Amino acid sequence: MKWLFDNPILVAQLRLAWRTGHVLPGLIIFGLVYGTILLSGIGAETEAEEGTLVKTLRKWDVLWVVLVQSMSLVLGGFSKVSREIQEDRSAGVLDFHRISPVSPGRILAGYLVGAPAREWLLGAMGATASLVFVWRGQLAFQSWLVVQALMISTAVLAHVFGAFVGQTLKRRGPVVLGAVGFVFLMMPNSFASGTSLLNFVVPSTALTQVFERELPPNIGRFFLMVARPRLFGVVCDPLMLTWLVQAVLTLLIGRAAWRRIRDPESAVLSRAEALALFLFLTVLQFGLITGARWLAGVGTVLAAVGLAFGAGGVILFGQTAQPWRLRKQFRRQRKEGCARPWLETAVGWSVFFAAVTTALLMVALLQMNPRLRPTSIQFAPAMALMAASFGATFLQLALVVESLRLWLGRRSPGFQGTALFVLWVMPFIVGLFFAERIECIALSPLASSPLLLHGLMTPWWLEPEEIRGIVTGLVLHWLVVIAFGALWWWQRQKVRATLAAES
Amino acid sequence: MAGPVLELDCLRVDYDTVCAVHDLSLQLLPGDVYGLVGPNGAGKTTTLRATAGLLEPTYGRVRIRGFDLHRQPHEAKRLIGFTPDHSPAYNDLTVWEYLDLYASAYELPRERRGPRISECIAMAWLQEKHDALVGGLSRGMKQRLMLARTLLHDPPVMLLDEPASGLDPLGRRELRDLLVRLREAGKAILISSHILSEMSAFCTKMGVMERGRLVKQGTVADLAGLLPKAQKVFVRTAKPGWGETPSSLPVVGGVPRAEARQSLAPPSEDGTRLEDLLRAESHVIGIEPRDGAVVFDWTGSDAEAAELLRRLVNAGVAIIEFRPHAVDMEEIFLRTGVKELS
Repeated sequence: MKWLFDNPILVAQLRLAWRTGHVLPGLIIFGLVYGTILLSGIGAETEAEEGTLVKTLRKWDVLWVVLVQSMSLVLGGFSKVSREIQEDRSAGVLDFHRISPVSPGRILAGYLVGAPAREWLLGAMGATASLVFVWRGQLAFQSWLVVQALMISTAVLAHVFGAFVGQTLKRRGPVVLGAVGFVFLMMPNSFASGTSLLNFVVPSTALTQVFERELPPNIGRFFLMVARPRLFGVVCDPLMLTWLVQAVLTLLIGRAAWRRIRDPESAVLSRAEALALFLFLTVLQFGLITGARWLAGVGTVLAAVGLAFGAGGVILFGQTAQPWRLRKQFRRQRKEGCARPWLETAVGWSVFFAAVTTALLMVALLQMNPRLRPTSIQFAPAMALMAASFGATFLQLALVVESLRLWLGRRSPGFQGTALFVLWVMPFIVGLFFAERIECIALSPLASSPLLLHGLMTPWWLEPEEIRGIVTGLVLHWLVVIAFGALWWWQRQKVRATLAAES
Repeated sequence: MAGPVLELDCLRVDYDTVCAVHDLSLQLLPGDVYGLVGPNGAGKTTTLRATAGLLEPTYGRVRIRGFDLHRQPHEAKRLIGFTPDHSPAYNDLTVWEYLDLYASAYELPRERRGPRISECIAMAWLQEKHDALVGGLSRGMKQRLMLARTLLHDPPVMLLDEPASGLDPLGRRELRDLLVRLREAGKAILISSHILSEMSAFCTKMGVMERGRLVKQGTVADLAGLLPKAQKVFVRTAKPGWGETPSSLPVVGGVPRAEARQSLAPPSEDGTRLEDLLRAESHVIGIEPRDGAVVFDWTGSDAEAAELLRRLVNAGVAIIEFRPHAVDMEEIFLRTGVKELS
């Protein structure tokens, strides 16, 4: 405990939180909000008790309390942590902490506990307000505990993410808006099949399971639509799944924030951590769609593949070496007496990502279509085509990011980079309008959609014309890879030549 | 004899395509005060930031009392005190709270923190600001606060980046006295400053940086030895030669710009006669008006200088001051030929 409470950063953050004078007004405002919710709920319903009418709380008003609590604790805390760290970073205060003997872990803990102190107080106020529902017998104490535990785990994840954002981005606004949008986007989805991993990042799915038991029938009916998630066919408790996802993400994002405090120039995650993150996300996502047999379709499978590409793309973007770092590596390499450094490139990663995605998809198809056999005549060639398609897409992502960074010599893509990316993405979009020839036009995983479609049907049989279309698409796909590969190679050679010419 | 407390070995720092510090090596012993001088963009601040561990060098090593800064950061960081050229601070903390934060960060025992903070506040002349909010301090006061923060854990190696910036003349004098005391206490200090004239008062070694390279280094005497053998002589007449010559006159290579020269008040009769007489002397070169007097390079011997003085007096020039002009850091800096980059 000494490690945490004798933490200079924590003490300073607590002093700052108190000094800025926002604590008391915040407590008063949120006290009024909670008071209004509770008072407006009282009297709205009446219950007969021993012949007398007794005013009681509206049961579902607890949802409003939880919503306000999550806004103050989760979103408010995220915003506070990211703002404090970002301000300290730009003012140079974080540099001072960094050169002191305080370890990066203690610095991070100081910000995570100290900066959102007011938000934790507001959260505690919300917990107390919702305790009124327990007291009035509207909510089981165990359910209240579960809800509060979910609030805390979500808040910790959000705050850790805030610490990472504060050290990485200059503009927090779009991230805050994106986070709010993400939460609201996920809320309606949580009532659906439970096949999306993203529904277990936010607590909405788990909360609906809690309230399903607690709320009156007219409200509860709504929650009964929620399907229990199945992981590779095994029914899972959504609460446990949410905590598992949140715990892993908290650990990995926390690790990224820690690495950035230790060395602001370092990669976001180590290679092993980044690969573990990709594995975790894709295995869980494919596991979820594999379990939900009754809803499985090309769309669901494509969404899972899309998540794999999304996660892979973000990891590649975050981990790909910056041009200045590559130059530094080259210079070190050239300097006599320096150990030959590993020349950073994400090309190998893309191969790994493609292999993992293909393997998981293969398992998912075999699970979803019990009559499909690995020995089916077209299974192996179809999987090879799928692997080639995924490999090409991941390679393109890696090569585009790396060659653009080398070419343009800056961290953000800028206008030229964005324009090139739009050109690259265009066939994906055009392909959507020409579904009958999608495999030729869309140089993307969409090219595999006929394979997926047939994979879910029995017997699996592709017409020769369809096979020709897929192969044509793949050839085009790989031509683009070769083009980007050439650009990548040329840029690296150019950097080498420039550095060799340095005096 | 004690070994070096600070060693920079072949240090190189790059900012993408710009090499900010190029293969810099230097060693500081206890009691060394090493002054880094150079024009803007020469790499002084980058050197200090890389030495403090804020920048990862492309290659090269920084060792503090033998601890490698990148391999043994925890041990090395305790031994460094760093004052940056700006003042990053929490505006909503008081001076005492701010110093308490870093006293705790540098793991000073709780019972020693209070007395040590008061001691450092006194050393940085901030006694009256003990409970003032940092945000309310002037720039100079913040600079003093940064200095107090640097002194808190009594580090054997101090890195000071422009510590005098923002200080008033009194503050500069106090800083100079403090640095002399620290030097006498055996601290190794690496300091960068633009106020060159003051650095000779406390620096034991100097290095001139240009475009990331250390172009000259040695003691102040060593660097003065690099100057031309001519001795500078300062002559003031009863009626100044060149009207009101401001000390901040724009100078290129030791000679005021032509337009600036023209803007000066015309010389008095004494001044004109003095200049004419000096021009006729074979040992006199580079006559230059300065602060209402005349400074010139003298290539002759001391006896010949005495003879020159006699001739000037006999010619009726009312001389009230005639002395060798001490070579200062500014002179050394200008004569080493480095150019302004920005």
